[in-house]
Amino acid sequence: MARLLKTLGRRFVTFLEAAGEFSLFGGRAIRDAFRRPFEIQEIGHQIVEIGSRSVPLIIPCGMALGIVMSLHTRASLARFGASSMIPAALTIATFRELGPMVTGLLVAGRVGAGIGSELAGMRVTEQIDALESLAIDSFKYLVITRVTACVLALPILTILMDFSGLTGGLFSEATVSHISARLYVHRGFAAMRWSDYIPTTLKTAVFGFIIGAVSSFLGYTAKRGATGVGHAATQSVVLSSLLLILVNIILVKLTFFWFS
Amino acid sequence: MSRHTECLIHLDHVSKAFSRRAVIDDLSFEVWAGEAFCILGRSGTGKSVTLKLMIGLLEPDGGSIVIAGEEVPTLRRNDLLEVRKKIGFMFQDGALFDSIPLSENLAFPLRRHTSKPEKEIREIVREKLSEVGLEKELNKMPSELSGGMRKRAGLARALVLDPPILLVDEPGSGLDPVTASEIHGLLRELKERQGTTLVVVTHDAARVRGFADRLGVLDHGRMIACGTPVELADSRDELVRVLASGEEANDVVSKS
Repeated sequence: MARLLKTLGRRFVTFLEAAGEFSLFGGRAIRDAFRRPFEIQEIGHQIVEIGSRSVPLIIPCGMALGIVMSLHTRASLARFGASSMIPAALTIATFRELGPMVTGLLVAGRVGAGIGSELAGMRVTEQIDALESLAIDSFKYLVITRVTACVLALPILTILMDFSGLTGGLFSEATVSHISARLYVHRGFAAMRWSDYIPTTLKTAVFGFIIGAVSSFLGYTAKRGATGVGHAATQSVVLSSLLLILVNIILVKLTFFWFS
Repeated sequence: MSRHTECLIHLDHVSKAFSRRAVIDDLSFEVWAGEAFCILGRSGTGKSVTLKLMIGLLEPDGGSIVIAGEEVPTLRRNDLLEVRKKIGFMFQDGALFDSIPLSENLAFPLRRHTSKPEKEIREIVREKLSEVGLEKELNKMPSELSGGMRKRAGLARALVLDPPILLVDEPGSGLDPVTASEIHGLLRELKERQGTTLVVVTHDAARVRGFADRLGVLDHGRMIACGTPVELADSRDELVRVLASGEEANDVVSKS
């Protein structure tokens, strides 16, 4: 029993240490993002890497999500004779929650693992030390650029996901009920308010920060050679996905509070 | 020897521990401008850590490290980066950036720290690579280079900003004797032609004796001997004598 308590205590202390280190890392990322030099070129490069290269993942997933949602919504609403509400239900569900959340999780999987393993690889092969030895601030050059790119790319990818979802829903509805695109869009957006759209899209910038900061933290502070690289990649996905889901609860609550 | 009059590097009672294990313990030495100082020692005695402390990649737990008149551990981030522009660092495995070609590895610091036009940057890159015999590998990715080539490329990148100080980590380790001799020859040329101050970490005294002005022997993080190659080769301490002369070890037991 004593040994169990000791182990649990040690793990709790390790967890607190890691949480503290991550808080300092995240705080430094926010502070340094507003300090010169701004590494615009590298941020642009990272937006291409993180943003553009996620597009082939986002569009088909969005369309598939729209189709599946449409099928589920139809099955439920048709029972109550409310088939005409399907476009509105789909649009609100996609824009308010599904689009942002699914985009966040997809990017956490693709980009989180990429950033984690890339930075960890650079750490264990002394490339980060080499950057520093060449008088280049590795934190600004590697971490700030990736975090900023994630913050900027996530809302754009979310918009893409939202509209891909709507397109998938339209495709599904047009096939089943022969609804015209114009009527679908009209019904879909008739019930929408800006508050259903703007805050929920902007909250994905927070998701972007979580993904960028968590995966950069795990990669930048990696140890133990190849094992460390694998660990950083896996943990980046697990932790950023988990944090994203938990932080989303707070963000949804805040959205309802401010835009009720 | 007028160039050996200015102290460029001064470590004073420096200590460093990892997980409560002392790696560097009360280490002190000086290196003069234009001098080649070689730190010898067995594996795991803190040689590479010493270099990383000097360039501020690691923070010491105690003591003072002065490089080119600046107290490195107390410098603010931007001031530390300025000091680093005066120091070249050749890593043990080259530490080339593996996502960009060799030419970009060298051009990168030039683009960051100088306002030279692109044409001039390309010329400098070509010149530096030809100095280390890699002008034909210009467009190759680091993964396409052999271990020796990567080391030479690492040396070329460390020299691309023409730093007055060069820190070199194990220049000959893991290389065949011919390639190792080539790299040591490059270091000798650098010292003789450009008067670069060298701090070379190695356990291969035989090769550095050709250009080293002084040798220091590290054991368990402590400098147990320091002097000219001739002085240390005559040392009464067998570990010092073996390391400094490069002769075969015969039941050498290090001081603990």
